[in-house]
Amino acid sequence: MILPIIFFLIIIFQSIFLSTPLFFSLFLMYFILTKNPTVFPIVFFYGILIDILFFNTLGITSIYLCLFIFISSLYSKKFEIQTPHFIFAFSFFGSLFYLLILSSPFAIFKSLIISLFSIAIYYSLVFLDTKKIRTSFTK
Amino acid sequence: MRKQNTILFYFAVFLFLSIFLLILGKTGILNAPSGFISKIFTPLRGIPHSAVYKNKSLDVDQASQLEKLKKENKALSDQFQVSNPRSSTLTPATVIGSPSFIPGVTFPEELIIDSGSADGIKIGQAVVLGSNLVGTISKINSSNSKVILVTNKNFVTTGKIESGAIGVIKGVGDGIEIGNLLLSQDIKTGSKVLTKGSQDLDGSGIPPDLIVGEITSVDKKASSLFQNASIKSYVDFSKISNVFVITK
Repeated sequence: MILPIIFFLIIIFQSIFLSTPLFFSLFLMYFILTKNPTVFPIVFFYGILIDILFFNTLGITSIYLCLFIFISSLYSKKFEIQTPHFIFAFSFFGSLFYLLILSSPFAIFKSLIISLFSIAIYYSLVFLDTKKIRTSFTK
Repeated sequence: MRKQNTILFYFAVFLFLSIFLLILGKTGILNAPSGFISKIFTPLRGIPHSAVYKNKSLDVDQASQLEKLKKENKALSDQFQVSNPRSSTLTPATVIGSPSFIPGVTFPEELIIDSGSADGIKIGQAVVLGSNLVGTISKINSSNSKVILVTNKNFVTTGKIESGAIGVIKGVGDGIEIGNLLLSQDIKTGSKVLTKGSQDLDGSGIPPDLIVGEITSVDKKASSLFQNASIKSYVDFSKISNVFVITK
């Protein structure tokens, strides 16, 4: 229950003050930790909300996030994805392509911010014992 | 294997739904629901925005409410005292967001206002404060609109200087410039820059004689074909709370 509220607050905060898509980090971390297919309806609905609040073409964020999460799942079949390297690289390139599609200025700088934000979340969760948090997510 | 099939199934379903929504969105059918959802979030976005950028606390006691009303009233009375643009063609709007603006880090390039197509606003209409040009409407739904400021790198329009020189006004992120000025033209710092006007038959677009700013520096090189000048707007875009859209 807390997680949807966190997603919601991040999106509202972002729509007022930032154009850096912080939600990328959250959705990626959620999938990495849970590997739960329920991430798809979550990114679908939040993607629609993001498009409405940011005046993007309706559906484009949902499409991109679905593809992004699906590619992450394909990657997870061959490689270990709960590593800082994967998180950093996927956050950076995923957000970079998204920002380039939306013609957002300072795309590389923002992508770097998102990658660092993702790494910060990752290490915070590691510090807080990832196993406990993963268990609470899947309840 | 089963889990991967489940992921594939969820992916296919929601990708299809997203594509379907994309196509529906292009037809315009979803404008009303989008506007309704946007309207729900408008008050939610307006409160923190005004609290941060106007140095107001979130304390909504009577004194703060009164101060807010005084400022809105002053903005309205100032606007309706100017003769250009005519007050009968203006729609007031409140700024509820300025994404991409972080004080001290980045410069404001876009605003989100609480008026949309339901208030008669259309894409391309000019947004003003007093006689000063603030920007133009770039995107709308039924209850909100996005304004690109004159400082936005995507903003371009024609302008004229007091001396009579005509050039191209464009945003450069942290300011405004006017370029394509003939070398033979005498451009002086402190000269006012006005819009030349670029309105369509239906009235949308930028009307003429709106103030863009004043010239702060001139870049003139004998080896160049044209000269350029930097412009400083009279409007502080980081502190705007109320604007007006020229709807006719």
